Amino acid sequence: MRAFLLACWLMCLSTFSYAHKASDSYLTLAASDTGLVTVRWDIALRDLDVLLSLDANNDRQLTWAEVLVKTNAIQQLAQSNLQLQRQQQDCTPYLFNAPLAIDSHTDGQYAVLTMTSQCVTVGAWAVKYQLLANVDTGHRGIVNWQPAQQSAQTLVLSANNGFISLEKVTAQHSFMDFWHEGVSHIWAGYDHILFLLSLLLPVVLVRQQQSWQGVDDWKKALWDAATIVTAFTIAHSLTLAVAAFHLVSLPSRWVESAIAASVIVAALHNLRPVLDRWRWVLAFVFGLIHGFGFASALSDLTSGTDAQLLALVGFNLGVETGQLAIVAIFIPLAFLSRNSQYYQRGILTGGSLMIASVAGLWLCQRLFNLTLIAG
Amino acid sequence: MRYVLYIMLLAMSIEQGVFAAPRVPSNPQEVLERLPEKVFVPAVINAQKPDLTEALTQAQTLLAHSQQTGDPRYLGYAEAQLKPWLKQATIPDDVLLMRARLRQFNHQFANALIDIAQVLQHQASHPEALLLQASIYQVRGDYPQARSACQRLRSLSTLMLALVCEAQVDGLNGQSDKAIVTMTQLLPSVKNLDAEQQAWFYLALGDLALRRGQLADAERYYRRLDMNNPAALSSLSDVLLLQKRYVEVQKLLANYQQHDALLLRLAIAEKALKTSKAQALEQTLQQRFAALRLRGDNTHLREEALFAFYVQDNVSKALTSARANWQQQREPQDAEIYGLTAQKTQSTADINLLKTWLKQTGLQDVYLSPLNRVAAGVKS
Repeated sequence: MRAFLLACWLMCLSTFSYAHKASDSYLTLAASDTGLVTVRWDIALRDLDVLLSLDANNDRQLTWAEVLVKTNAIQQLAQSNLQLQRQQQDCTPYLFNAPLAIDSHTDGQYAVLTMTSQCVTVGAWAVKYQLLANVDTGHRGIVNWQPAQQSAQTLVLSANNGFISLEKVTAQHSFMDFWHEGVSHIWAGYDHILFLLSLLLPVVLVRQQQSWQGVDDWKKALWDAATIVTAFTIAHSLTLAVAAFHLVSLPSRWVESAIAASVIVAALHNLRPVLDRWRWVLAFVFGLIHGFGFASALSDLTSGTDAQLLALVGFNLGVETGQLAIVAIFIPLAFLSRNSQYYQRGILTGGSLMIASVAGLWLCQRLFNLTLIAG
Repeated sequence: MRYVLYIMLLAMSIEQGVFAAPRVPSNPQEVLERLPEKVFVPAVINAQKPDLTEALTQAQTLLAHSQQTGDPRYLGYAEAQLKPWLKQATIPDDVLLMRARLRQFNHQFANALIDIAQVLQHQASHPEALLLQASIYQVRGDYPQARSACQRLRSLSTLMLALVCEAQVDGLNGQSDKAIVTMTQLLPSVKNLDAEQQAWFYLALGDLALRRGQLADAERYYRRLDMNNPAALSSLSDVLLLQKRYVEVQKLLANYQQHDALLLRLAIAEKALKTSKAQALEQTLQQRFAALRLRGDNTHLREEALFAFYVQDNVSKALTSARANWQQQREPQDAEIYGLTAQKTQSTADINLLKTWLKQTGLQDVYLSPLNRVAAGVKS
């Protein structure tokens, strides 16, 4: 025994990666309103041969005739290895309503079974999948489940003795995870907050003869804030999506540096405003760059998966929520103190200078990869 | 997380047209599929009284066959052979060890180590368990642990294995001069080893030379391997690709297109030669990777990163795969592609992460020195 085990022992130690994939079968299950389920099941001819010895003359060349002659056995296999339930009641045995057919997948030719089963009209769906159980533990059934009136989903099943629910249960969970990440990213990443604050600082003021005055109407301030926030949102959502789907990619060092630069520009702009009511243009242009920054945070979260769409939407909504929270806290406070010297000099001028210098330090450390301050 | 997977899979299945139109062949004599050689009789495990020796022999044969053909179906068959014993309260050591090997192939390194630890509890100097443990620690970049596993092999009968094992670790771990001396001294006695041990030795020596940048030596050692073995073919192709000897790679791999890792190397060569086949190969690989992702398989991330980088020219996608791969395995090749893509995208965070890791572990590899140069310019 010992000597035998040693054979292929050493060469098997290499982590050399595998050839094509392990065994899969592909299922489409479509349910109608009346509880009728139409099934298309693609099973690899190779796997059918292991289970049913299709290759009758054992020449390892599988002909169509050899498959056809085993049609009954193949259908029997389908009956016994895929069971549907609704409301914990078994659905009827399958009716095979189309002749056996053949289709090709990346790893070879598959037999295609088309069949229907009648289930009760209401209740939760479940499936029991047992193909190649006890024969191939690597085998998976890849199910495209299309319930009536609901969006389709894909599940990966391994052969199992029990029923697996087809109802969505985990949906909100991970979506909320990404949402939380979005919120915390905008709150933890001071650069985004400072950029937004720099642009929002003057919304409660109007510029008159080289000096600032408080606005009379809070609606005007709110409208101004809304245009800025919207422009920023549209711009960063745009580039976030573009980057998340790998359509464009920029070196993260330059993105981070450009974000720092955008904060400097936004802050200094408050000292010598040129765009005034057109600050939303600034928000839009630099928002494009901030989007790339969000994208790298997002890609850290989703690395290893291609789970981009859900993550993207959740994360982006999280960012917007965090952003609205900032606006909701800042605007009322600013509006109340808008006419004071404290706000106009201390916060607007002093604050902008401070923001610009912090961002200046960020720019240096991001450009030259030094560590001077946090962030 | 599972829901995320569903969405992604759905999007992909639509995109890839997984469910294409089937056909009903008109000629009954049409050959649909060339089936592989029959090495597998599923009836054995359905027996009422499963026979442990028989099952282990079967599993071993299937594992060897899987290694030879590169077909992962045989891994699933092999594991299924063990099923009756895996349900037991105490799993026999040989079954645990076999499961550990299968888990290693499926990149379940942590679980494999647990199985091995159990075996070693019962048999402290079990050579196969120690060698497997050493190789998993190497893959994970845990060199002190790998070295200690090798050292425990130093009994008389397995001294040679211990020395090669230690030299492998030394070679990775900043002592490649010492390692090459040891291996060269062992060279004259290699002919006394059995065929498989010889192959293992030359593969290790070739890898060592390769990471020292001694390409001619590496090639010489790899060429002593059986050129029907996919691992050998892959190593040799890598040496040739490094020297831009694409035509030779083309010839070497022309008949191994079933094997993803080899097809990938062929695709790199065909692309460099700008042949008419290049595009078709790219498409085939893309479909195969998509099919792997669809089943939730993540054992191919290194290859996917290499594919994105060398064949698709998509650096950012390559970085994403290389970064995810880095969470699983940390062999020199993994560090190389991760470093390369991080550098190309100037991703400072990734470069620094890798640099810190290199400093901690002392991994030695000439192909990582460009990274050190860049990283040195970027103070952390």
